[in-house]
Amino acid sequence: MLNYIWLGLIVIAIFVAVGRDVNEEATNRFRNNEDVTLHVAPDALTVAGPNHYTGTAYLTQEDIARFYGASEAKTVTGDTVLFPTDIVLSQSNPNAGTLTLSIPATAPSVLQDAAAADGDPTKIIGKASFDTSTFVTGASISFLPPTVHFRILAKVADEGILKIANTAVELAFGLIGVMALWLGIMKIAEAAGLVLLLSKIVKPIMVRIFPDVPPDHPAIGAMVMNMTANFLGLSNAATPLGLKAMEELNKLNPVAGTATNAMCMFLTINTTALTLVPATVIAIRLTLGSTNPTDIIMPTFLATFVSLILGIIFTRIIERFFPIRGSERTEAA
Amino acid sequence: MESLFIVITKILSTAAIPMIVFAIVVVAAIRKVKVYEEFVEGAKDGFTTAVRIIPYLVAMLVAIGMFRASGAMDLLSQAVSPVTNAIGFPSELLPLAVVRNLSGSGSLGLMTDIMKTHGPDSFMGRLAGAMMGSHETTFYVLAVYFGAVNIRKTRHAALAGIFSDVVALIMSVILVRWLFP
Repeated sequence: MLNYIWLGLIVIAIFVAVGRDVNEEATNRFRNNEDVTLHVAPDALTVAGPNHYTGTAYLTQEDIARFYGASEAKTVTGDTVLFPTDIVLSQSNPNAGTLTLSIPATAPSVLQDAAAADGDPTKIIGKASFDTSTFVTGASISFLPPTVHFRILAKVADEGILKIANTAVELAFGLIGVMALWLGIMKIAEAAGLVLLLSKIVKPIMVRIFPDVPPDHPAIGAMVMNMTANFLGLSNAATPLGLKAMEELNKLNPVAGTATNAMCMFLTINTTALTLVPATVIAIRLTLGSTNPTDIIMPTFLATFVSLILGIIFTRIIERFFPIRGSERTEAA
Repeated sequence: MESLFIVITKILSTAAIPMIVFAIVVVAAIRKVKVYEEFVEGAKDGFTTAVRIIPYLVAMLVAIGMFRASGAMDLLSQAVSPVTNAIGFPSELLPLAVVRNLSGSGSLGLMTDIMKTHGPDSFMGRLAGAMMGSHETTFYVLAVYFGAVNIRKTRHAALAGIFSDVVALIMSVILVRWLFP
């Protein structure tokens, strides 16, 4: 199952990325190698130093529609878009230079995408030609932004693959400390017989949900502690306890590398995330000025509770359609 | 501003961890358990467990990362919008419904965005909150939990997780409509 989902995510991602890129190439969305004409209001660009002008340039919505097409013009709200602009004149030609166009949030999405594709989403740096003597009375500047090709595929490679691979390692390493702490505490609780005691208390419910797990097995205690931590919103403790429970469940696993019914059931319960107080959601609603941020508790709790019950029933029904193929017994766990 | 209920739950969740640690250690000591030795013995496995999940996390997060970066998420939302419109689910919340399963930080950003646009006390804001609170990042949990015990054949776990999420989604819509008419 996960095989297909994984394959699907990757294949769809590549297809979509290539499709969108080819479409952008075919329609020449970024008007590669074409000059866009920027307007400068009188005195809007002033001398900031030797061979250096700074100020603002603008594009009207009409300009954007004419140059980039009507659909791009729809992404701007106002009549004109102001761009903070910086020009450094070239040494050889006083009427040409390098122009840095800062991209505000109000800029059309085509320029925002172009800026992001070039590495810095806040600015585009390109060549420009103009007549500096007209800056006082109002001028036009021909601006040639860098070309943009296959930006989505590049984004997939950079954000989707390389950065994320590092994120995964950071996440795992971030777990080491809490993992060690809770595994240590669990070990003490086990040695004191507390895990066994907890297992006995919840036995009547757990034998129905997990018929394959002996009621006094340490896995039951670990699972209950994980569920309690989740319920109280203690996610720091919940993950280590959950992983401990998985390890205990794996001791009962006859086929290494294949999930047991009990593991799948435990994950179903875990992913429904029954929580007493959705603290993060409440905190965000509070900062956004909600009059009663906690009124979300009731619908959240009830929705989760129903999904928990139906999820447990559903898992029990479908488990028989996914039989364990017992050929991996020799493989090391 | 805060109701008594919230104050109590806040105290409970702040005090819970120290109190659990305290209770376990003290009871164990009374029962003559060598607490320090046992703790170190158990904690030894912390590193290996954390490191063992890395390949599973890389596999899962990279596939999800590619899917998001390519913009396939938005296309998927558009593709299923006729179905969701039929059950009265606003199409603006579709990206959140999809992302919620895949990425915790991504969905938190989307939810905040929706609440900012529509207001935290609007139907959309409440529904986004309920969706956020009643889901877990299913695929992350699958990768981490199965990764910790080297399970590669996950059988029906993903299907069951998705089923529960869909139920939670539908129930969120029904309940928010019902409780906040």
